[in-house]
Amino acid sequence: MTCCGDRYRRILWWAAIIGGSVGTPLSKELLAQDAAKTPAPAAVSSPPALNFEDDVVPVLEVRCFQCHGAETRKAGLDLRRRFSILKGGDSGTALVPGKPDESLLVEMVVKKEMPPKEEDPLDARQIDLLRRWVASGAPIKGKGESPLETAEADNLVSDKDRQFWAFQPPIRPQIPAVKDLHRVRNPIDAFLLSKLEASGLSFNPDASKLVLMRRVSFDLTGLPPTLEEIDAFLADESADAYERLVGRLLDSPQYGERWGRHWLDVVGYAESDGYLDADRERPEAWRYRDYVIRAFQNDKPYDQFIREQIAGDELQDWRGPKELSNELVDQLVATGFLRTASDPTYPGYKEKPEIYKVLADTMQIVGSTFLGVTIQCARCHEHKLEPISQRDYYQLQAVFAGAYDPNRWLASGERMIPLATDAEQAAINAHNKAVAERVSALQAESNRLLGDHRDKVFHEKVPQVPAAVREMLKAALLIPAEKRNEEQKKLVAEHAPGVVIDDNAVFARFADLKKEIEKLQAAIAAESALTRPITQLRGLVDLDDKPAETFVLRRGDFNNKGRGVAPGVPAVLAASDFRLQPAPLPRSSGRRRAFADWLTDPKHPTTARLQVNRLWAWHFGKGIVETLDDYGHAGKLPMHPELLDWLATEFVAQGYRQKAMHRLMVTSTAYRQASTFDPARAAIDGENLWLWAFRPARHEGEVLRDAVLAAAGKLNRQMFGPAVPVARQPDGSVTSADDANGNRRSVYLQVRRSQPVTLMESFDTPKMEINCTRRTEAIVATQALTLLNSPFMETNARALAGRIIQAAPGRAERILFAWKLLFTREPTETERQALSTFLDSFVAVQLGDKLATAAPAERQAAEDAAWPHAALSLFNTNAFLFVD
Amino acid sequence: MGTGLTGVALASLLADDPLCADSSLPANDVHGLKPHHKPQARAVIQLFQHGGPSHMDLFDPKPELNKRDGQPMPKYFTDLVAISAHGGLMGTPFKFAPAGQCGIEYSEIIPHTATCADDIAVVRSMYTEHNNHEQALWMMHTGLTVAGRPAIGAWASYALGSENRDLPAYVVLRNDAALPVDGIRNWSSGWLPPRHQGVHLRNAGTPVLYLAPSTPVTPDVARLRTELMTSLNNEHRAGHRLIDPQLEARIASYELAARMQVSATEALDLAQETQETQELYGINDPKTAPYARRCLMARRLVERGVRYVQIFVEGQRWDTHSDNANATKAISTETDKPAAGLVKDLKRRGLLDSTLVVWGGEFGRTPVSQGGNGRDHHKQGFSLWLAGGGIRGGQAWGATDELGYHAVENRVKVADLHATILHLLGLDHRRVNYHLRGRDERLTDVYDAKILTPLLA
Repeated sequence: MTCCGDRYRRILWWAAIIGGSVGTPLSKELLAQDAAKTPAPAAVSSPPALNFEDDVVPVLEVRCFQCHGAETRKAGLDLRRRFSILKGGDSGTALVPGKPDESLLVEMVVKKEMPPKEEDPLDARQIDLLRRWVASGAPIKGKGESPLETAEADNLVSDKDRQFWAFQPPIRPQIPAVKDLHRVRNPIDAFLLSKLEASGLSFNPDASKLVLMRRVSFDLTGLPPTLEEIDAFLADESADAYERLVGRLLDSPQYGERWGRHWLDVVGYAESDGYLDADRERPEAWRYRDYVIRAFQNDKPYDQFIREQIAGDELQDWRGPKELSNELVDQLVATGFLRTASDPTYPGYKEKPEIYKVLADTMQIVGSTFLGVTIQCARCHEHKLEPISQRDYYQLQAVFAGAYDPNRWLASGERMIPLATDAEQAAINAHNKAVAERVSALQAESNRLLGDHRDKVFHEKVPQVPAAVREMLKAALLIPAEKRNEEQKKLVAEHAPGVVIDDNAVFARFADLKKEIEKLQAAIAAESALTRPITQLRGLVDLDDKPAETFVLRRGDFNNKGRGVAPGVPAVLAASDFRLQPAPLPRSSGRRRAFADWLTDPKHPTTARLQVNRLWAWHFGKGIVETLDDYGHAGKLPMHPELLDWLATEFVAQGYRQKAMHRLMVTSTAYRQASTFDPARAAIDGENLWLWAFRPARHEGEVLRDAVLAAAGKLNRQMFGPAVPVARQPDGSVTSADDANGNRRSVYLQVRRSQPVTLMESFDTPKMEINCTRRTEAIVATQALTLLNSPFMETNARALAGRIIQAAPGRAERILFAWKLLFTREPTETERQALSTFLDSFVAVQLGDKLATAAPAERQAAEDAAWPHAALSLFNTNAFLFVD
Repeated sequence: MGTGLTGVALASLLADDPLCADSSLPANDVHGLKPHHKPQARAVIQLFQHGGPSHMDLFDPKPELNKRDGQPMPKYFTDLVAISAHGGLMGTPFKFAPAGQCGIEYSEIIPHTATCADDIAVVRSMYTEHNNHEQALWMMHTGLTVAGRPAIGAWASYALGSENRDLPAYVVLRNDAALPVDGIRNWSSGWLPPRHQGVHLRNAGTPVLYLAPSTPVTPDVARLRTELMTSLNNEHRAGHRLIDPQLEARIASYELAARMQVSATEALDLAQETQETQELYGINDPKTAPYARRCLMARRLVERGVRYVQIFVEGQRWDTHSDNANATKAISTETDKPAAGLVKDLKRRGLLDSTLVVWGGEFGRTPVSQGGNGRDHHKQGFSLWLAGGGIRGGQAWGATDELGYHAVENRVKVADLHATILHLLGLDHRRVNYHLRGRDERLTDVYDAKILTPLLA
């Protein structure tokens, strides 16, 4: 891996000199060692000669240039050159060569007047260095100095940095010519085929109709085709039967569930706060999940999708209107995108480290979703691999400062948006206040009634207490138990049982009292039910139009504030003269709106590329850029840069419609080719890097669970709404209930960070520590154990067996039914034979000695008993678990 | 008990298949990984004392604290950290006495541990970065006070793998009923591949979740099912050479599952141990039995090549906010004999030299009282101990101030401890990296971690 230029090495080197204000943090111990190694000024051996450029600038650049440099020259002082220090500022020259005690440059830092009080003073070594340099006559390195430009360009990011492919807007390439034209169904094929042909390769033949049907059904909807769908598709012999199947699948609501789930990975969707043992739930999070699913179902243009998620509250003045339209509510819910990060804060616990962690995680999610550069590295120091400065990082943080204000922090549960206009809220609050008043009046009446009667009983019983202690007892009883002194405690313990009586004793003494109290309590309940709740959305809105000031945090430390920054975007992703220009709204900074507008500029270098590449990876198993969230120098280069750019520009040209991109991808020859092995092609490209065959893929955890439930006939396709609860079982596993609600699609199961659903977790459904830009695919023994032995699999294997037995009386028909249901095809002869052998052997084992003499009904019963075991075995096969 | 798969049957079926002849491979990274230098410890057993044991009552005698019992905390201490909510200084009611030839002092409530004094190096100058359980746990297990990173056991698994094909590299033995604070994430693989996650082996029933079918099946049926799956998978494979390694790995994973069924069950079968050994750990005393069983299981696991075993106490038993003396004594009684038994048993079997035992919690406790007789969380100074695996026993390293508040001499940060554990496993902490989002991540992150060379043999 290469470092990008000398600049970064220089920064690191400064860090070593000045004690780690930037770069890798260095411990105090280490610095002390370094200091010990540096010869003292008065040492016998003369210290090395100092010069301005090598020794002094590194200190000044980090500590002083912010105010006395290119951008600002406070007190008219510019410290960037020796001659400009000599010239000085409002207070005259700052440097008298040879005379440190007369030089303001030294005096100000010695007196700690500079840097200003809120910043750390220079340390002793730095001051000593300045002093020695002035004392030695303030030499420069060479013969002369370059002149100062009044507005020196921002040298953190150069135009050369902007030349890197990923930071340039995509340009629509020519569609290449290919030899094998009849394999080209659309431009995707031409791009791929041109590379294949260059290596002496070609596409595999098209996959069979049913292989393709199974592939595209799981891909677009996450579910297998039903038997009816299979038969209909087989019967459809028209030329565009496949295209129309694709259309049907894209139009099905299940498409939204499947692709919404992909997006939920990217944004790190979870329904709990993470952290702490409690891992507090986020009962309102599901609205964002439903928003995402609907956005895919309705093919919401991706640019609009981004604008709503980043700035849904700033697209229009949501606080203003008399009525909250569905559109407005939708846009507010969309900002749930910015609320997925773990958040340990709660009322009474709002610590700065946790607050800044929420900010950092949110920025990482935004960065990996839209920017494709690892901005998080610049939180503590200039990025070591990419042209991303710490300033870039904090400028981006400033975009969110109107809502995420560290000084006016709202805890996870407090940061909710009332789903009502101001007027509605006022009306509801007034109504609820009246209800509360009536309730408390009724409660007072109930208390009084009970209290009066208890007093009566008390007075009847008081004579039992010796007169001498009666008053003291009364006094003691009036004091809360924990505040009584020893004497009072003793008194109460001794005498109170006789006189203090519980409600039941009061009811026993006064016959009608209980009924009266109950009547009052019923009235209270009825009255309380009239309370009108205000639905709370989990989203993000600015607190007002006064966003918090954002500072560069040295070493990422919130106690070590550097200069303030305006909201901005990473400089390398925009033209050098680009400035983010938010237009404030009535109660909102407008910053996120401005940021979203920048992201959705059709010429944006990363927005479209990142999303088409993600779509590609989800369809083809691997991205054109393999590092889906990292397009920088540390990421991988695209395998097909022209194809990537063609897709990105096509996406924009199609109005950011994702379904158009799906259609392009899944109707291409590349997608339709068989996944079968070919020795000749494999000899050239053994890893199938150039895509000469479709890449078979293992089901994801959610798809596996849904496919099992579908095969068992138990999948509940009810859509939307609050999460389906999951719970830890006595055996330690986490599952949903085996009932209608519990058997809904996996996308609706509660995503509790501390309670991942066991089956899905073992098949790599992510844990959402931050977000998941790419799933891992592990093969471990626990998967085998789970698929073979878990109650979930066993139960559903039994249900599947029941379906199979119901479907037909004969063995051959049953096998055919099972194969169509599970594998979307007929069995091969070998498979048919294997299953028959299994059934026969099972019957033989079951009947034992009675095998020869058993009646047909007995044999049939034994064979029926074999089917749950057969079903479980089928669930465990690679043919079930993989999509060809 | 029924068997889901018969190991022998499946193994023989696979052996018949030429493609599977050498399928001893994947699934668990076996043998393929090399240490950076000659390891002193082959395995680590971490006796994790969740809750934060009170160092002043166990390993760090403070006569001055006892002398000032009941007095207010001196101002120069409280200036540093606000502990206004707390009462005055609270000495320990327990007596300390020199132990072993080394004469290191141990509290009277851990008499068995004291008998191992010559094998133990006590560190009395630990400090950490957070006073909350969660953050301190993350620090101790994963190296930073943030969630989501891999635990040290996962790093060990990632760097070294397991020495046993049939058992996971990183095993967690916890009380089945009471999870520690932050639950299963204490042994998470974080962003490392999931196979490095700690595998919780249960104390009772089947040691691994779903190790056996929930409805038992006869060996005959299990064999038939396996045969069916094998022939269907072979048929499928014929057409899918493209993803051969994946399919093969999946078939191998079933083989491993079958072997685990035998080997994990065998590894945790304490009935194979003699009465004398069981007694050494305290299995016959109901008070010590639960922890003793886990300690003995740990020995059996490292004997069989498991790389990293972590034993948790029941919940956060050391979290003695009230009635510190009695609570500390109670949990000491439950764990002292088993922990000492483990060290002695490892030693007499010649395993101690190659097994590092680490005893300690996420932080210590305050020298001032909380609510009159409790002690609160305390990050500025606490104790832990190490034994075996390249550690020179019979010493105490570092010191807290006269009140046990701040670690003041030879301060040891958590990263130093981590670097030392990895060092003893033959690993350079700076070179155990995982590339993530453009950065080489490591357990010790950006800390200037130092190997605790004075502790080494």
